[in-house]
Amino acid sequence: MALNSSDDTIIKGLREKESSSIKILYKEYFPLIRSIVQRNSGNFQDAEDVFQDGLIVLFRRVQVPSFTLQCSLKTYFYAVCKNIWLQRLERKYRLLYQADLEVHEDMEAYSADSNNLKEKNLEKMRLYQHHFLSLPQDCQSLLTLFFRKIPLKEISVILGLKDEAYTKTRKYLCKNMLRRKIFNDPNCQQFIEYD
Amino acid sequence: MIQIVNNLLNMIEILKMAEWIDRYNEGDLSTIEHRQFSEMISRHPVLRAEVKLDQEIIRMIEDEDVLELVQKLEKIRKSPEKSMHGYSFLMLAASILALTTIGLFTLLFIHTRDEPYSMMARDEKPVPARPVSSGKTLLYLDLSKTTKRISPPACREMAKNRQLIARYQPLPELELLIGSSIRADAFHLFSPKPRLSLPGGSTILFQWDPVPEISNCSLEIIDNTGKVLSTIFLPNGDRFVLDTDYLGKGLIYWKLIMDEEIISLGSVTLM
Repeated sequence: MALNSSDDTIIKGLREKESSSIKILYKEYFPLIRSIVQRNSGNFQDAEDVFQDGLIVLFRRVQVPSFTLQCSLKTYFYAVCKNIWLQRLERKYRLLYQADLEVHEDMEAYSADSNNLKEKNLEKMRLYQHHFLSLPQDCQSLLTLFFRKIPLKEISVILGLKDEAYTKTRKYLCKNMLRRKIFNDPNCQQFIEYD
Repeated sequence: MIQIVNNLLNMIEILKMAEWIDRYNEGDLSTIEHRQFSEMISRHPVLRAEVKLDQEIIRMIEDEDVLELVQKLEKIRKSPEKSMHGYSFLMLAASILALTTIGLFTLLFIHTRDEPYSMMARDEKPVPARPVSSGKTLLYLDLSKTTKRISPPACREMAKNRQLIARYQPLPELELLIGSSIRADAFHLFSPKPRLSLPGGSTILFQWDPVPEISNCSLEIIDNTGKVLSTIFLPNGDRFVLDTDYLGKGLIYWKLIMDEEIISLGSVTLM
């Protein structure tokens, strides 16, 4: 099935992380996702979380060069989000999902086969991302640069920090701040595995 | 208490460990340190969980594309377009409020045009118009009629001025008697002059020819509405100094009374 020009444009834009494509996806598809989530024991926040996770799944998928759609983008995205919500409901409430969802097209279009796209992992990463984005801007930049393997000396120049030693200390403090934020978040507790 | 101390020690331990975890996950440990720390990890589940969490954090931060995507989505979510319904409602409420305010001000404007002093302070009683003598002609100042639009502060200012003006308006019944004197043959007043203008707070010298047979002499101070402000029994002698400090500004009348008879009357304008 060939992509229609609109879907093609959105996918191309999403590959490049273009705000315009994300905006179209949000405006066009979010009401549908909200509807499915709210009709099935979820609230608005759940819908927003599911949409975000679905977007990340779609983003990762479209990065694969061999990616092809067998249905419309809307159907695909709907299936992705529905799957995420299904798993989340099962895991959280151990409730059986009522099969009253209207599937527009082929449900088989999506399957969460990759470990990286597992619902639990998505939720965990979303929480981590949320805490990371709540860090002070300088901390975000410092950690991003550090894990980009940029030398501390260069980071201190880029961020205008005193010296290498201070940058190292600051990096430690920022990372620790993030660690504490995650550790103190009750929602994150379920993901910390004391095996 | 023991629990708190334990938690505290645990926290300190975790903080100490954080540096080790950092170094472990960033490959910054020496071979010996790495082996020792790996042993610790295998023994302590909490430490193991911390190390795993740290690895996941690193993975998340390294995934810059996703972070950028999430950031952009957050921005779109927070953009005003999202909650247009809420904004529409606010806009509608603001419009109603604005219209109501305009309406109220319009009504107030119309009201103030008809009654310029309607916004006077509650304790400020409007002073009735009183005939004013200007030589032989009596003029009536009617300050209640004006078509000029007055703003509330100006209105209050005018009311204040009006009150001040009212304090200088002459009292016709006393005005007619100023300068006249009874028993002029027996009593002669040198000072003050029948009409006098002085700065407020000045002293007024009352001086007369000493008359031994006249007794029971008093000085009555009256305001311009005819209200007696004070009665002073004059001492024996030929003079008396009146301090006007307590009288404030305005037109006052004085009556010199002897044996219940007004023998002299005058006015003083305290500016």
